[in-house]
Amino acid sequence: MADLCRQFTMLVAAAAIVAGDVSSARAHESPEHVIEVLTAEMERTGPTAELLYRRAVEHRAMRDWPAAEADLRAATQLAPEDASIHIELARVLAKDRDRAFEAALLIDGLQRKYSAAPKPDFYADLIALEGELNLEFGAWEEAALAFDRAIELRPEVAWCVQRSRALSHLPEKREEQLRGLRDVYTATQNPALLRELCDALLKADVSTAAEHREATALIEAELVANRFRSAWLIRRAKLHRIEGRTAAATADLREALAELEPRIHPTRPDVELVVQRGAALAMLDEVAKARADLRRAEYLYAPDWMLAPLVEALAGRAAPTAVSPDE
Amino acid sequence: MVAASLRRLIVTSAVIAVLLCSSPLLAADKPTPLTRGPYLQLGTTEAMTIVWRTLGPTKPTVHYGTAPDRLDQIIGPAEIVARVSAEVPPVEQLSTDKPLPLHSAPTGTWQYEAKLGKLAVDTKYYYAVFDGVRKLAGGDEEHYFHTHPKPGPAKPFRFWVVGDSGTGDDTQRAVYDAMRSYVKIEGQRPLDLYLHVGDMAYPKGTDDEFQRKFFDIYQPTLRNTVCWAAMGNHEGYTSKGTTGIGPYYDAYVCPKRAEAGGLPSTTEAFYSFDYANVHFICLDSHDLDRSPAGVMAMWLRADLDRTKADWIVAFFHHPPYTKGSHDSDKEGSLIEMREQIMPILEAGGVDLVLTGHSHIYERSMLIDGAYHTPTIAQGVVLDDGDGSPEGDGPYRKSAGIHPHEGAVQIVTGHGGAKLSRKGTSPVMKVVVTEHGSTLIDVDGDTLTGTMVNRYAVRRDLFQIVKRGTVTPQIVANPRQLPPFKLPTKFTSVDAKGEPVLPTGAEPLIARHAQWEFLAGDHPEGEAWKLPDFMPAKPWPEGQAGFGYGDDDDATEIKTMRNKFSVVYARHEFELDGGEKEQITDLGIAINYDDGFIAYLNGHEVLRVGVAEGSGAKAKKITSHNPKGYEYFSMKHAIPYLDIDHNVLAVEGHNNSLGSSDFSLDPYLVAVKKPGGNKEKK
Repeated sequence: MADLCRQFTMLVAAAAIVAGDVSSARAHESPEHVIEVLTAEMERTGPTAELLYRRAVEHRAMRDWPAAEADLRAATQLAPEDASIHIELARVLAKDRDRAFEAALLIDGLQRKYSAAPKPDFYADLIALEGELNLEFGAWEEAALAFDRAIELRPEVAWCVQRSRALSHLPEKREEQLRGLRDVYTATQNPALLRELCDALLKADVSTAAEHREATALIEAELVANRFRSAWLIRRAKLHRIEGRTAAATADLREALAELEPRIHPTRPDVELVVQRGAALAMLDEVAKARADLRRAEYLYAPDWMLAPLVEALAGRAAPTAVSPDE
Repeated sequence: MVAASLRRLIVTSAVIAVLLCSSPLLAADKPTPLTRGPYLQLGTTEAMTIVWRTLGPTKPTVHYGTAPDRLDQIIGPAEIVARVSAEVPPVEQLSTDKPLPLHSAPTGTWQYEAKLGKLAVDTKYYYAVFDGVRKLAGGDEEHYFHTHPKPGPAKPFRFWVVGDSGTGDDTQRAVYDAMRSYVKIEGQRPLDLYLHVGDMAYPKGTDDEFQRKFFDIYQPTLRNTVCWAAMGNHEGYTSKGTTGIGPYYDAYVCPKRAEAGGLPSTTEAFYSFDYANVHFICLDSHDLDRSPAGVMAMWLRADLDRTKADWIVAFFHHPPYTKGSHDSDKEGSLIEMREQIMPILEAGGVDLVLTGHSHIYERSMLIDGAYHTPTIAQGVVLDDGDGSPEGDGPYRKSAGIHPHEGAVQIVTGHGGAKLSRKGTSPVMKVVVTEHGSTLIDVDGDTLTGTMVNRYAVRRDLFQIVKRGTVTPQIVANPRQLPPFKLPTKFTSVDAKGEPVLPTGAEPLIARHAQWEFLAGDHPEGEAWKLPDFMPAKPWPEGQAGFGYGDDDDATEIKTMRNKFSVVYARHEFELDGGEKEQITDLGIAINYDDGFIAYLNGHEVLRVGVAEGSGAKAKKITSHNPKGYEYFSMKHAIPYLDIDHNVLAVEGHNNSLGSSDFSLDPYLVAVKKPGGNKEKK
């Protein structure tokens, strides 16, 4: 973990930390009203850790991160042993790219503190939080290890997916990645895992013929079952291209684009659809438009793993001519 | 290591019934009381889950069949999942595999979950639950269920939607009773499904609160209609979406493996199911990742890609558009549902979005792409009419599911909790600050929404018709509701100190009527503001006004000065049948010194001169010299009137203990439609 902390001196994209909401018993009132009431209560009775914590939760609901942090820090002074306050503080800090290092230190300290058995319920979340920070900062091995530990304590689909993404950056762990995805997908049939598994099977240059056959079966089943098919048409096109069937790939990509166009809202589209369109365009050598979609997806805060198919499709292609994101 | 964890992931409800039914505990002769249910969960085309609780273990058995007197099929203990409260040591001794615990159920509670399978599609069954051979419930006309119709073909059906109901009070009951009355009206149809959009057990969603504020109230519906639930923030106090643990997850059996249609979510926190030609999607807007890269969003996209239903209905707790008790332009979870989840839903062709959280009824125009913060109407409205077949006509969409052809948003968080309103969302067409609930009828290509208030009166009606091909067009300058203004307190007094009342005003509570009052003490709790209040020590009665020191008091309170500063008074009054509907204006005329707060049937309706708090905690009382009766309009409070039994409660405050005088002398007036006036005692 100390190594991890050192890596945080490189400030990259903001950590997309899953912040669990904590509600207030007063939350049937609006956050502003609850903040007013809690403030008045503290003026009358003096601040307590509980009141400060509750107010911080309301500040967070209002996306007032500095106020939330201030209340949580004050609460930790009054109740230094209350882990829930520290965890909440770590989550708030992780919202700010400039504070991720502090978050990591806090998580590290909490893990050390609660590492003795029996571990509290929130311990798995702490480890997963560490994994998410590692993932954001490119510490793949540490991230995979953290998610392994978190899954061991409490299996979560999200953590299995993130573990796979960490392993995907480690060529020597490819078999481990595929095995984990197959096992969990077989057990759950969860579509998020199916997607991860297919993308892992279709990794250019490294995937085998057997893996292609495995992917083909999964893709064809989805194409038959689905109403909207663009995501699977693009995957099949990728497979066609890997196996040299260019015309078939082009037909799939054209069909995917025709389906995508009416689904992509002109001003604020679902970022996943933008990535799909960009990838299809790139594979059709419409590089400038593809790059415009890449910029749009980045503007919409798409994480790196979501951008990966588009970035991969654009890799090595000719430099774009200028195209605005609105084009 | 991971493999072991994966095995745990697929293990859902550990069945311990085999061990339990061999237990000598089950041979006990003592009758075992039913403490919850039986109620229905997780209905499908060929299965239904029946859930119930007992205090102490039983030999759980369900008899079922197609007539109440012919329950010729049986499911026994070996096939029934049992869960137990934390403290049941004898069972743990019997089993090497610990039973799944109930989160915070009373000691000795056993919960049984019987999945009846291999049922006929779209068929009515009756059932009874037993402890061995002893019937605990059912076997009558009231305990039945319908299996789902086949997904795909259109079949008319109705579902009820309620949110933010979990107060356990008379308002919640009134909303429920009103819905039940409404669906019994000739020409109406009974419920086929029940959706709850969260906040069903205030304040913290504990097991006890679930029992008192959900199961005890809705049991007549729950025993024959599946309630499909979305978690609210108040349930989130004790239940967590990440772990699937807590009283909420004990209460509900939701699909994790696409048992009722859709795609597997691997969690009960979000899921989907099919009913006839509608695909329902439930999301957890409270405590899971709402980002477009989160697992919930990934599942949602895949689920939308897959469905081939004619209609898509999404429901969750936090509304993307509201200006009720919450503001969707300011609060994070609401903003995220709008900015991050709505683009996915609308790209998938969603038709209707049902939410709660905000304690109000708000219903939108037909909109698409309203993802901006703050919400604006420009560029997002596809039909600015009222959608009513009795008004501007239904909203029109193409047959089938198509992206971005518009959706209607309904905030139905008015099921019981205190109402309030901050403003008007620009995309809303109807805003009603009354308690009530929503009924949705789907009949082939037509979806009809009806809001029924707590008096069983229809307060909104709209339709969406999906027929042929419709090309969506943005309405350039959509008609919007007028800006909302908080009720202004109109006060007026003439030169003689008489109030200037609205034309036609007649007393509902007469001037100088007899009131119950409390002086020198504070009432316990809030019950004194409600009708039928029964204090431990009866309050004295006196003629209004109350006070001292200024020779204007019918009931003088000589001990008040330097001793206490608050006097509480309450007066109950009756309305005749249909009288409430005749009232067009309502107001209070009052001679007061220095401030007061008025409550109508428990709702604070007027506050004058008391800046903060109430009762013993009231602060910042403004000095006010009485100048006779002043009139304050309370038209906004008309919805709080009950159709028969009402109470006006008033607390009067002096701004200092040593003040030389105090006055509290109210009466209540109303203006009614011509022919409806009748003076009350």
